[in-house]
Amino acid sequence: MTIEPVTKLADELLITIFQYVGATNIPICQAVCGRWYNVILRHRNYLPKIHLSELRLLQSSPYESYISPGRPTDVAMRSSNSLLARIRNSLKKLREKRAATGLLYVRLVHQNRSTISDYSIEPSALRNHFQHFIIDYVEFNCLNGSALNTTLKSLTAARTQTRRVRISRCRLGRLSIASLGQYFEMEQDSLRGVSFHRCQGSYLVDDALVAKAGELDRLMVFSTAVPCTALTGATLRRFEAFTFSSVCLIRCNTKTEDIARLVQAWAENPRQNASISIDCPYYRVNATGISVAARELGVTDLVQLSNCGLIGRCKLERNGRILKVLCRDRENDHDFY
Amino acid sequence: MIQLCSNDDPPVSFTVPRKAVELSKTIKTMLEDLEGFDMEQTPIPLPNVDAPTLELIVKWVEQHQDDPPPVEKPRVEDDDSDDSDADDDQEPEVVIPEWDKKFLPTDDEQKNQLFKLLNAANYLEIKPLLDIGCKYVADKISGQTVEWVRDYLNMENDYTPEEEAKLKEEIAWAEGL
Repeated sequence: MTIEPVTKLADELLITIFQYVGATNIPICQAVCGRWYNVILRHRNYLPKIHLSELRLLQSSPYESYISPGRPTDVAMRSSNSLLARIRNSLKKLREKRAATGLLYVRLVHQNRSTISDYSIEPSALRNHFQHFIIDYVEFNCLNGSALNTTLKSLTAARTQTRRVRISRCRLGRLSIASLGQYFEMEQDSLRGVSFHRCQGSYLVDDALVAKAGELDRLMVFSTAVPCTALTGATLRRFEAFTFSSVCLIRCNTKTEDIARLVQAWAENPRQNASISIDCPYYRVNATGISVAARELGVTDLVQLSNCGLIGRCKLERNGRILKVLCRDRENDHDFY
Repeated sequence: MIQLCSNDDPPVSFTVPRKAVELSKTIKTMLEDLEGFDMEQTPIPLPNVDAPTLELIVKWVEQHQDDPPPVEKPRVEDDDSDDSDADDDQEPEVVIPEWDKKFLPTDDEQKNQLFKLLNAANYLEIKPLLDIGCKYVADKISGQTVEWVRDYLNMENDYTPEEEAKLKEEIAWAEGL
């Protein structure tokens, strides 16, 4: 009788070995044979994982990423001619590169903030890629719709227990929004902060999507494009129900009474040092409206509420017992944030 | 005293104190089920264990028969992501005692004996022996290359060259961690 000691070991015995082997050795074990690969894949969430503080995903090279693919004119307007030429050049290279390779640049940052790995990978090869990690912070940078969608699907399957997600300058489409919803639902328990930053298609970010992320501590939606996000007062009202530290909505469909209600909620249920910033299409919110609504609701300790009529931006701050409501019109809102 | 028989032909039998043999959950349960029969006279056949392995098992249980029973730790069930702080030191701490270090068949020629021992410990459900054995194997393969692990554990590479190349590429980041 030939002896095949390990192949005969029960899965649970292999799992015990893998539990002791240390998070960094598990990917090596997975490459040993097909059976080990599957055992690890099946029990991945019970085995040790590598704790990363950051995962950055870029679709351009790290050196080119400072250029927003969405708003080249913005950069161009502020730059001198030679710089302009350089930017045009790198934008061109960027476009060629993306079309040619479709690669994703991945940067892993370990807990002690040192980069452990920079490498490029095809989005389709990500399927089992993130299962080895617990990742505190995930950043998507300059991803197109299909890359974002593929990456999100892999992350959802991997259960990375992520706390903060930043989606920056990506192209959001219906498919990636759906995947994002599933991802949020899966990571709901650990997720505390979500930020959308200058994404194309951010009008697709709606109340239902944000609701899937559960009880967030920080929410930031920053849309520069003209169609504003679909977030309404419903999202703000959800924040009345639980504690949070900051919400920042820029160009959302927020109405005067939504903000007024929030003022009331804070007056009743104070939370230390929380803040809400809202940049609304100015015809929807006005400072007098908030002031009147707040008085009607019985809130009297407003410290500051500038009476500027129609406003562009509004910031609510709570610090202990003091509630501050700042409203500005568009002309003098520099350094507001 | 209880008699245990190996799967050899003819079977080799070992006589072990009941207290020691009850370190095996499998045998303990069996003995409890057969309460009332005179088990002292009936040898228990172990169809999955050969004589050298059984000898090792007997040696181990006799040495450890007076150990306090291990604390039952529930396996990490499902995803309590809330206590993710606790997950940081999720890796269970197992220290291999001095006596066990000498006991384990750790020479490279003896590695098949070690795996047979682990198999037997799994079949007999001797959790503490299983833990130190797995810990030993885990320490041994930590930080090694794929080829080394494959060779050490007598595993066959069942990947096609293409599959392997792709996998290698996928885990390239993990090398040198």
